[in-house]
Amino acid sequence: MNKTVIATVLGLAVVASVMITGAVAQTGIMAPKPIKFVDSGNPVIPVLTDEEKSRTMNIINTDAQTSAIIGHGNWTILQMGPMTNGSTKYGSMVLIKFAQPEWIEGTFRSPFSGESSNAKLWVSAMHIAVDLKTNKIMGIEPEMTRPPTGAPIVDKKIDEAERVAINQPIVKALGENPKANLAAVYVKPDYPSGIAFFSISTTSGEDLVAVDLSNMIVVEKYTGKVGNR
Amino acid sequence: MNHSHRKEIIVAVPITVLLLTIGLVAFANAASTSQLTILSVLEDLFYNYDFINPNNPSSTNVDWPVTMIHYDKADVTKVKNIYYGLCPVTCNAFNADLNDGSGWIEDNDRGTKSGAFWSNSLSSYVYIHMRVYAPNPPDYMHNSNWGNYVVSTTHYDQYPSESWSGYSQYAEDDFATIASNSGHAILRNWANFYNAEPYRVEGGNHIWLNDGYATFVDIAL
Repeated sequence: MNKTVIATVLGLAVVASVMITGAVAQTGIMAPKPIKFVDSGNPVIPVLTDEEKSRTMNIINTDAQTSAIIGHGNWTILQMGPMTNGSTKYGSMVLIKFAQPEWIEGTFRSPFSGESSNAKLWVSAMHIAVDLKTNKIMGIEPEMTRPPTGAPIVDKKIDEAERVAINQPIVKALGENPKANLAAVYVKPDYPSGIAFFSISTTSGEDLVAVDLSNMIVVEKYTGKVGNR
Repeated sequence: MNHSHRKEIIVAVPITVLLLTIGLVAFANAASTSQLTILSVLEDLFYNYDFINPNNPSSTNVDWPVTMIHYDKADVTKVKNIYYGLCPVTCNAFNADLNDGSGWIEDNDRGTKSGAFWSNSLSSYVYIHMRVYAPNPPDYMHNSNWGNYVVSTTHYDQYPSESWSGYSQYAEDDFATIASNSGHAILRNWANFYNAEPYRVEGGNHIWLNDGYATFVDIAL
C-alpha cells in the first residue's frame, strides 16, 4: 500500500470518526452499556441449517394445498426460521409475501392455535409451518389483507351483511361515500354460520366491520377504525 | 382406604390438576432468549427484556425485547396517550425489572394497544401493542442524560383471532412513525440494546424478530 492510499484511508477514518462523534454530540443521548448477566441458564437458540431450509421449501412446493395457493401468484420469502420449544427445534416457519393480494379459499389449520377454520379471504402474507420430523405441512395461517375492489364471490348473505356493515354509525361518522369491500369470511366453532369482515373506506379513512352471518349483527370487538402509521 | 380418605383424594386430584394446568399455561407462555442482560446508563439499570411471570427475571421467563425509550419529559400515561391510551383488562399485564439508582423494583403494565392496524411490513391487518414501564410513583425513570424516561417493549398480535404475537421490530418501526407523525423527534434504531433476535417461532405462537437497536422518542413537553 503506498503512502497516498494510506493517507486517504486515514483521512476517511478521521472524517467518519468526526461524523459519528458529531452525531452523538448533536443528540447528546448516551447509549447504555451491557453488564454481563450471570445466568448460566441462557439457552442456546437453534437455527435452521441450509438443508432444513431447502427441505422446507421442497415440502411447501410439493404439498397439494400449499402448492395450489402459491402456484398462482408471485411471492417472496419475507422470513424463514425454526419453530422451537426453548432450545429444541421441531419445525420451520416460512412467512411468504405475495406481490399482490390473492383471494384464497379452503380449510386451514392454524400452526399457532391448532384451530381449523374454513376461510375465504384476500391475503398478502401467509405463515406456513413445516414439521421437520414428519416432513409434512403442520399448518397454514393466511393473514387478512386490505381487499382490492370488486366482489370475489357472489352470495346473497354477503350482500346483506355488506348493507348492515355500511349502515353502521361508525361508518357514517367516518365520512361521505363509503365503499365496502369484502376482506374475509371465516367459519369457525364460535361462528358456525360464518363471520364476514368488510373494509369500508371513505375519503377520510378506513373502518373494518365484522358481521355475524347467523343473525346479521355487527361484532363490535372486531369493528372499528383502522389505525395506521 | 376409608371413605374420608377417598373423598380427600377425589377433591385433591382435580385441584392439583387445575393448579398444574395453570402453572403449565403460565410456563408455556414464557419464552427463552440467549441475549438477556442488564443495561446500564449512568446510575440506572434495567433489563433488556420484559418478563411473563413476576419476580423472576430470567432468560427462560422473557416476553419481548426492550425496543423503545421515550425520554426527556416522559411518563407512562403521557406516552400511552401518544398512541392508543391505557389498555383495559383485555391486555395481560407483564413485568419489567428496573433500578433508578436506589434499588431494584418491578413494574407491571398492560400497555397501549390498537384496534385493527394496517401493517405495511406484513401488508396485513394486525393489532399493535406496546408495554410501557417505569417505577410508580413517579411513573418515570430519571437520569441527567435521558431526563425523565420510560422503557417499552413492542409487538404485533394477529388480527382478528390473536393466534400469534411477535414481530417486535416491525411494531417498533410503526410506533416510531406514529410518534414522528405526532410531532415527536425520533432517533430510529439509535442505541444497541444487545437483544437482537433472529426470526423464529417459540412455544407455538411467540414470533421473534428484532434488530437489537432501540428507537428513542423525545417527549419534549
